[in-house]
Amino acid sequence: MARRHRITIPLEPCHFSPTQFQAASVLRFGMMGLAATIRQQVIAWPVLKKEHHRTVVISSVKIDYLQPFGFFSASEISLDSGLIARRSGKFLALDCRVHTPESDVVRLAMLTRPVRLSGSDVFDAAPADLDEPWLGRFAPDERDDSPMVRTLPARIEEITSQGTLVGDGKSSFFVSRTDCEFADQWQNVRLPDWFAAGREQLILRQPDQILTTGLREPMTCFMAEFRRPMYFGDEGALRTRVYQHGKTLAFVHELFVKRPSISEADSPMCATGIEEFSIGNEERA
Amino acid sequence: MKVVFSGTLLRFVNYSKEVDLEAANLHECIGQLSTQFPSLKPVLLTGDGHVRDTHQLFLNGEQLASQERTNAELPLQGNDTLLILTAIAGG
Repeated sequence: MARRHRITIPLEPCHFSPTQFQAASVLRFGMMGLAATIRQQVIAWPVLKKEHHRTVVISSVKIDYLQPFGFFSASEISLDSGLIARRSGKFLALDCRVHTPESDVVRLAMLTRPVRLSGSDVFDAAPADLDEPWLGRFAPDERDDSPMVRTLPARIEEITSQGTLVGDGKSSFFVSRTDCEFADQWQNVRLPDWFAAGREQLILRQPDQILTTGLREPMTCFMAEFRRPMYFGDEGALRTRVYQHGKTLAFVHELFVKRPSISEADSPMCATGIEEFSIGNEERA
Repeated sequence: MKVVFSGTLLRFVNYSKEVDLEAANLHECIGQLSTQFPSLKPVLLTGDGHVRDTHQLFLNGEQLASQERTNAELPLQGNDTLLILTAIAGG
């Protein structure tokens, strides 16, 4: 049976917005689950990195909020995580359930890409499939070579082609060392905060009934793909377009890094994603 | 010419995001950087003196192909900007 790792996390106010678990909190839980399952199924992450020059970087994440849950809903939650090797070690897929004794609250899916480190002090790396003996540490039911489907591009296409554009905006930010991990590369867990800041600035500039759904209501789904990393000292630009698609309000984000001698139009995209909210809940309240 | 560094390399160049220097070609440019910042050399270059594949080079906004980045005689001019960027860091 595929192994799962379970821990209990006491809840504190910083995990939450007024409406729900912050997406960044859920991603941090996911990173805890990733570290725990790598240790359980492969080897302790620091050892994997320092002695074997292997690690993983995050390719994509999807968070599904399954039910209303706020700071006063419980004093602790359980995190149940499992790690699967996909496509013969090309990817490692993490599945996390955030739950109470009664029910699941949030589901997180995180896809990671194994990389090989050069061994230099800058921790530079290149993609490298997880091969033996590491792959052999995954039990048969922890390996899945079936085809994979990227869900985010299809969802963006559906929303932007079928939905109605109801707002757009741009914002910028600076990548501080506090936004980075020990190699001065961005922490993936910061992405939801940059998306949220772009959404909130856009809404506060135009606080109409539809757009403010993105502040009044809890998010129902968060999806993101990471294209290339940003680093300490980089300046980022976020473009956000808002679509109404049936009863869904979707904030579609594209995050770029500003580079000297590269025009804004040609700035490399570092990440893209969607935050989705349900419209009309207040009418039922 | 101007050499621009990204985040992972900043601590090896005394946190100078931009460095001005005079170099007629890529070999001279890399040599001057190695002299000016000795701790940069082992993280930027392979044993045979080429820029590691894990770092990308952009000359005036255009990424250098593998033949160009290994061409020591690649000409550089005074108004050129060379961006040195780590593609992925496994931190």
